Amino acid sequence: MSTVSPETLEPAIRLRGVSVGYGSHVILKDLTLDIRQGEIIFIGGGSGAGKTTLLSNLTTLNRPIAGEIWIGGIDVASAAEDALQSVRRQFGVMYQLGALFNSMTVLENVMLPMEEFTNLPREAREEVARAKLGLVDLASAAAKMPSELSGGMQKRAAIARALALDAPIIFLDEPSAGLDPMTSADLDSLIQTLNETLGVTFVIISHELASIFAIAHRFAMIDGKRGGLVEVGDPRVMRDSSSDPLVRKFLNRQGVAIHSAPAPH
Amino acid sequence: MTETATAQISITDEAGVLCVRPMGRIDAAALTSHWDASAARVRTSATQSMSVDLSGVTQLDGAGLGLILGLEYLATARGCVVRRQGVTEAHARLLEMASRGQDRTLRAVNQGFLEHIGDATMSIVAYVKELVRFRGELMLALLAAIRNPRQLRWGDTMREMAVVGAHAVPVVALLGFLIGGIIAFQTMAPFAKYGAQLQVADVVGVSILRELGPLITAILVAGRSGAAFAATIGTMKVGQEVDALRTFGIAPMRFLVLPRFVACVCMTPLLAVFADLMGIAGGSVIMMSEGFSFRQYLNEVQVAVDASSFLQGLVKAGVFGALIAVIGCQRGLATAKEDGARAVGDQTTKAVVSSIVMIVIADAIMGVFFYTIGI
Repeated sequence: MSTVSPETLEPAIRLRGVSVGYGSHVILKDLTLDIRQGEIIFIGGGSGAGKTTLLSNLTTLNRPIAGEIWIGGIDVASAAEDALQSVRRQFGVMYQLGALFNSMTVLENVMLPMEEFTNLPREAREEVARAKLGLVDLASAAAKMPSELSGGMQKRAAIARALALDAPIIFLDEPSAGLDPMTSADLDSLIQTLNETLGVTFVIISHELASIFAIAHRFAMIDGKRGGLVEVGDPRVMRDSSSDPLVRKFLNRQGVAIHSAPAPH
Repeated sequence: MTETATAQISITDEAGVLCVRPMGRIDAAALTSHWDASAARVRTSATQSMSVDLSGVTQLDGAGLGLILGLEYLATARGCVVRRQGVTEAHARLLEMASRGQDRTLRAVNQGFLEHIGDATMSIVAYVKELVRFRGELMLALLAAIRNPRQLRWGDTMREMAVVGAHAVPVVALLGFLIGGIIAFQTMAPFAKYGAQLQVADVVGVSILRELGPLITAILVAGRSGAAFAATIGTMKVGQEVDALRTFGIAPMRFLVLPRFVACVCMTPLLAVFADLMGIAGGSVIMMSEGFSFRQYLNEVQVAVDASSFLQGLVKAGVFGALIAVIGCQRGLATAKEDGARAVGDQTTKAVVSSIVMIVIADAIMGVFFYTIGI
């Protein structure tokens, strides 16, 4: 809810000359990008473009082959494991299938990060977890097991868990995958509301055009064949006037419902 | 109190109204510092009305929401009327979102002792029924494969035979050798009291061939292969591979269970033969260390055991192999795909435990049966 323009703030994540891949096989190279505080940015591209590989590097599961990734003043590409632990408190992640722990209730799933990383008494942890579930409109499912939830509800519960420690950055991996258009639109609306009310930065890995045009402040297109970042900017402007034929083709696919553009706050 | 970055929470009793005034940045740090004292104050207050004044709050995050809503809940739980004031539009929106659909009665219900026993009994009955149905279905598939051998997937069967049988040879050999040696070693001293050291060979021969060879082999196969069957098929079930087979019109019984069943029934007796030989060899080491020759030891073993003892062991091993395959595969197919990785682990554990229990029960029944018919 900051009134300061996102462009003038220190970036939430800063990528400088980043190359990612597996082993010595480079998929994306020389990626330079600033992810601004409080923005919703989509990172997309075709299948095999390197989206998931990039996400695993941003979330510190893997280290880039080259370059720097700065999160919270620490370069996660070269940081020691101890430093990475503190960086991991700076973000939450929602995985494609939710990745909720099946042996715990939804409430216990949301309480788990607080149990591990805070000294809050159980009663307080439970109150916070209930509030987080309320934010994603899932308070009534607190006592349910993840297997009792629909796909959309599991993803909302996973967002509540990602929000558990009030991390300023949330990564979402293909949030629309496996959801019907209505549920997907509801999820987009939730992401937008959380961004507006809590000022959380959302980094979303997705190629879902309906979501991109509905809620993205910016869209970064990556392509493995071209070796890295193709273009970044307002997706509506890119769709209508990008000089890159690949970007225009990608953003002009037929049959996509295009909603009104959100105003970056 | 002036507005500072550090949170303050003042709770005062003003004319019968408990006034709660959080100030500053209400976040996880505020929650950690102030929860215990604030919650105790709200819980023990006798006032019937509580006012929450948020006009001094500069920032409110998810943890702060938990603090405000938690204190409000504690007050309402003791019948107190709660009013908010000084709420900005942004905070009102957050509080409204976070308090949606809260229902604290929705907690997991703990089962009573009798209900627990009832549930456990019903699940055992259901399991036995399922096992009978499963064996019936397997027998039909087996009969179909005997009538038309092309029904059996020979490639898969050979691979399973290698895994169940050949790959288990080193560990079966080691255990058989050690068990034979241990039996000879432990019985040597008592037999020596009666000058009957040579009869230790009889004990080793009978116990290894009739009982311990097949039993040790079966327990090993249950631990190695029974667990692997349950885990592999369970993972396939969770990954919807079993559903995919069914929609192709391929029966999981023929595709997944039959090759494992045939491999297990064929290879367990062969492994038992190996365990028998190694057990006899293990016994011979102890006997020779006591001054007997290998020839003497072997002659005594041949006197004590006959072909029927050996065949009895083989029949037992074949039955154990069938039990391990049936239980392992059935447990795998019973995995609930909704429960994911945990269900695979549960079913694998159950497969091993059930197999070992069933092996021992079957061993006792067959022992009595062979004795009754005079073998």
